[in-house]
Amino acid sequence: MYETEEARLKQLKEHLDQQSLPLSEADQAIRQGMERVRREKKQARKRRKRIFGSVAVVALLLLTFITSIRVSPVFAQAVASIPGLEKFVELIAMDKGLDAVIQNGYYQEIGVTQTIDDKTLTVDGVILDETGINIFYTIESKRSLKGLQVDYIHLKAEGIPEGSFSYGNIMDEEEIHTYKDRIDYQFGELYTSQNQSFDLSVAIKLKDQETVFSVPFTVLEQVKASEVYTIDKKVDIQGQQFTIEKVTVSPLRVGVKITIDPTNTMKILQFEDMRLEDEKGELWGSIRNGTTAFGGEDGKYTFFLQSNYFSQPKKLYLRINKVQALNVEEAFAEVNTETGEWLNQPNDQKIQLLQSNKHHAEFIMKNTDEEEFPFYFLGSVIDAKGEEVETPTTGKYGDEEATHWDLNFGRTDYANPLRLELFAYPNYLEGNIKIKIK
Amino acid sequence: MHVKAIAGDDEAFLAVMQLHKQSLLRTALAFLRNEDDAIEALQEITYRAYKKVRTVKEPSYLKTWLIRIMINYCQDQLKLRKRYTVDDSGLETVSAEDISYIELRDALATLSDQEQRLIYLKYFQESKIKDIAQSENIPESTVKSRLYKTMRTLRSYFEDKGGSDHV
Repeated sequence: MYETEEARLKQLKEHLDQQSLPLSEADQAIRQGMERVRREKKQARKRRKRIFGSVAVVALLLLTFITSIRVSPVFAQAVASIPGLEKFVELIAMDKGLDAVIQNGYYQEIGVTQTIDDKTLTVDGVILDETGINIFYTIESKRSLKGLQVDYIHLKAEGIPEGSFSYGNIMDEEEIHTYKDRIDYQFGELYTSQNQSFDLSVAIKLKDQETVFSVPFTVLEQVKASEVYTIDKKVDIQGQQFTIEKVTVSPLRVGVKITIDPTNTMKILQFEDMRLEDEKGELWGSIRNGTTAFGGEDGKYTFFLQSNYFSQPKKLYLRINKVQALNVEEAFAEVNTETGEWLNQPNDQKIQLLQSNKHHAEFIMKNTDEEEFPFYFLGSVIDAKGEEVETPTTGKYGDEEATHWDLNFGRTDYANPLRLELFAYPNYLEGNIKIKIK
Repeated sequence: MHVKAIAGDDEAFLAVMQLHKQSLLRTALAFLRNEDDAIEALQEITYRAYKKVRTVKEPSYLKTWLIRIMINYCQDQLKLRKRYTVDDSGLETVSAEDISYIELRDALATLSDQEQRLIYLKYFQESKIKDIAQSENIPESTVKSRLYKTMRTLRSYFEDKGGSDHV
């Protein structure tokens, strides 16, 4: 029909095809285009922080989390069988104990909602035991939730022990109408009350507008009781001693209570590879995303491991091969936030102060072999007058070169220098500890 | 290889871009008629595609998809250019053959953005009707009828011009 036009088009195509192409410039352009994306992703990663808050002075927070997620087919299937749980997979998949909680049907659907203006908060479900509560919730809106920030979270219940909690999630760039998160509230002591009614408040900020949701809910199924094993055994690692007091096995976590010998010349910081091992060699390691230990007073600590509550092994051992430790006199950092000057820190000076002022300090630690040091390393902050300076919000993030820790001080009328207790540091003692639990 | 690129694998994406860079460059040159602009366009399209590559649903349409976002970019650039720059084509020395091409290109420039894409994909990239339909998200029969209508528009353009075929 249109042969003439087609012929002219063909002619032009052939003419264009004969043009020489700037191929080496093209290769460079492709590389530059890809590089731009990588740079942006790196920037974006920097902004991804998880926010940790603490409501109790007695609780010390040691936190660690990783970003890679592997999901077993069995777990994926268990998740798929519970409506609405699928969207939380990334928030629970790093923990074998939570994995087993889901597979054993101990996750409890709630489905209570509250709508304020165009935003709806839904408490999807919870996991409650004597050691804490995990609350899975979603906020949805017809309008974009981009830039949403959780301002604060309160959990009220009659007789609820004080504790620590962690929350905060990264919003999926492609799902700007949904924000989902897991609140991990960990009780400072075992909660054995019959009361299973809670009142959750979630305050969010979006474009300078604050919305406070308040959702009451009741957990119907009775809490499963913890199993307590008394051990009371003294152990030694390169001359430093501590006592394993008892092991408490609960659905959400296993707590290992340890007392550290006050005559030690080194301060023991973290039991990095502490793990449970059953008769088949199956392992349960430390908590990967949440609170990893409580304590500190009188050298008494409770460290938390992923739970094997539902696996019911015949035999169970507690194993430790390496421990983070520092000489007592090196185990704190002393820094002036106004001048940026260090007065004390571990001899190998792995921590640097990137920037600081009276409101805020940012520390970094260079990665070794591209491995990020996964621990939140700072504990209580004491000023020159011996008064505590609270750090209501702290954040940790990593980029390709270093791990960053952000500290925001609760007040600015403190006296420099500040003394920061170190809770974790990459300096190790090695040994081989194996203790029979059952 | 395409499947891997969709999963966001660096090397696989680079390989896909290497595979299609000639087609992409030719597309940019056909629309922008300038090497520097074509290179800039390729960088921009690499950037946009690499950012979005996870969202492509059907790997086999990756090439058509890349060409499509390249054409979109070029058409946007041409609109900007119209607003801000003077046409300097009068400064070039051209042969009679070139005049025929320039005329055809002028004719193509009068078409709507979608008509230009359809013509370009069909006659310059020699894409299959099926692939064009997928990339434009319209039925194959619609691609055919629109191409047909576009050819009629082109013919009437030349007829109104008084038969430049005879020059």
